[in-house]
Amino acid sequence: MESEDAGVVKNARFEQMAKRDRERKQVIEKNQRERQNKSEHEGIDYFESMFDKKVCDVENRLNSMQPSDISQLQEQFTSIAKDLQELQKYFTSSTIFLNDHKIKTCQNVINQLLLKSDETKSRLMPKKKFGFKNKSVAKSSKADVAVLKVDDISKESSKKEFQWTDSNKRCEVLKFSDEKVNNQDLTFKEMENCVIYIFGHSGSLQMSKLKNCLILCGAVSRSVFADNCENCVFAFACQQLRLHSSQMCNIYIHVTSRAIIEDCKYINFAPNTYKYENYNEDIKKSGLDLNVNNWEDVGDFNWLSTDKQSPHWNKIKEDERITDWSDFIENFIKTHEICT
Amino acid sequence: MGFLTVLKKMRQKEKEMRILLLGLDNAGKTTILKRFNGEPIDTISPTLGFNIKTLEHRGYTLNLWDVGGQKSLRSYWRNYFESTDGLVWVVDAADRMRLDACKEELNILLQEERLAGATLLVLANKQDLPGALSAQEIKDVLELDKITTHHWSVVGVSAVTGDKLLNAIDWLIGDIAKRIFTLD
Repeated sequence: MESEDAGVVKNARFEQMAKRDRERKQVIEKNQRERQNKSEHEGIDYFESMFDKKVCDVENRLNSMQPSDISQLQEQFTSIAKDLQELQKYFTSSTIFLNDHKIKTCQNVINQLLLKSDETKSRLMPKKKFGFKNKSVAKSSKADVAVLKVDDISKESSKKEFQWTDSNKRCEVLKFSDEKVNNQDLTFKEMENCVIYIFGHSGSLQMSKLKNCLILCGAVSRSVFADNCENCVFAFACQQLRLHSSQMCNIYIHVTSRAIIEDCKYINFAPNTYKYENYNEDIKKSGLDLNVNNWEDVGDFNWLSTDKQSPHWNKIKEDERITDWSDFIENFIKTHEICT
Repeated sequence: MGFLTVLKKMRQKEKEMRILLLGLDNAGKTTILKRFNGEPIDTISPTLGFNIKTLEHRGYTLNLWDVGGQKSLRSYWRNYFESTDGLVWVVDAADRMRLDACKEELNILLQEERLAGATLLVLANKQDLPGALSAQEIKDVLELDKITTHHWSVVGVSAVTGDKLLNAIDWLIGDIAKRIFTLD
């Protein structure tokens, strides 16, 4: 009896061992297969062809887009955005086996595509212009439906409306000073061939869509913000400057923090040489430090390399800087056919 | 040392919050971060990249991420979305020119899946300036009342004077804590 039992146990053991062995072999085989698959998919060639294919696909779709129904366009753009996101994901997960150069170029390609998609979007679906006027109209019409009290509606419409300090001027000489300037936020938009004098110490200065203009400004306590300016000459003292989407501008600046540019070309910087009678006094009142001028420390958001100078901006050579402003202003007025 | 330390560490980790500061350029994100951390604010220049600050506040460890708001940096915002508990949207309340862009960017963020659980705090910054819109006006312009997907609040603050900043952050922390650390 005992020996029979022992025999059964022995057989069972053998079977167990054989089973274990089979399982082990299967696992090894499976792992091997997986590894092969993986290395196929992790190959640089495979990545390159997949990446290129996807990039081509998105590019073609962007190129073939035509102006049509807004909701349809919206749908197309969402699908493109989704694809781009997937592409970015695929690329990010592949960075382990790509070299630095490849990573950089691929990221650039993706960024270009994103940019292009944005551009196409803004071309086909232009953004609404900003205005408080429309807003309050929409609000009050909504209020009508909701049957609000009459004084509620009047409160809505009395809401402060945004007004530019000046806009839509051509070939004019404009002067601003005293209480119109001091501690105020100045805003200018859509000016062409104009000379703008600003005497005093303003809080901030914003400019948009200026063309062939000369802006001569005193002290700005905080920031100067300009976008879409072309062929302009600026002179001012400020805490910081942000210049966006502008080109061919010469900037004579006294800046205590720093200037930054984004999406700009052919911008030239020089230390501010423009002065007027109460300039130093205005600087003092604005709280700016006359001894600190970081005009050379320009940050270019489209040029992150620190060891190479950005191609988008330059310093004006010392002998080419404007020293005689009254002469320059006179010339400027003459060449731009501005009537005084 | 040993088991107790491990437990303690886990417990500390539980009390951590990740807060993301976003907004258009020149909104004052870095100034808020530095003011909150008690650092000098007079040398701040536009952020090229991002700043991270970890600080203890009301028993919580706050990881504050301040990401630059320039147009060319906005596409990188999404890299910071993962496991964000609170989103602070900083608005330059005096910059009327770009409120439309501000609203648009915020709406894009709110549709983001990875931010779905986050509490939203809108700071109408620069209240110290004479031309600044009030928190109420910012709420109307950004149409915050339409937001149903997130817990939100809007507060008018001034990063320069520090006015109401602490209250606003306290609200944010309270709201996150209610959501995450209910067992406490």
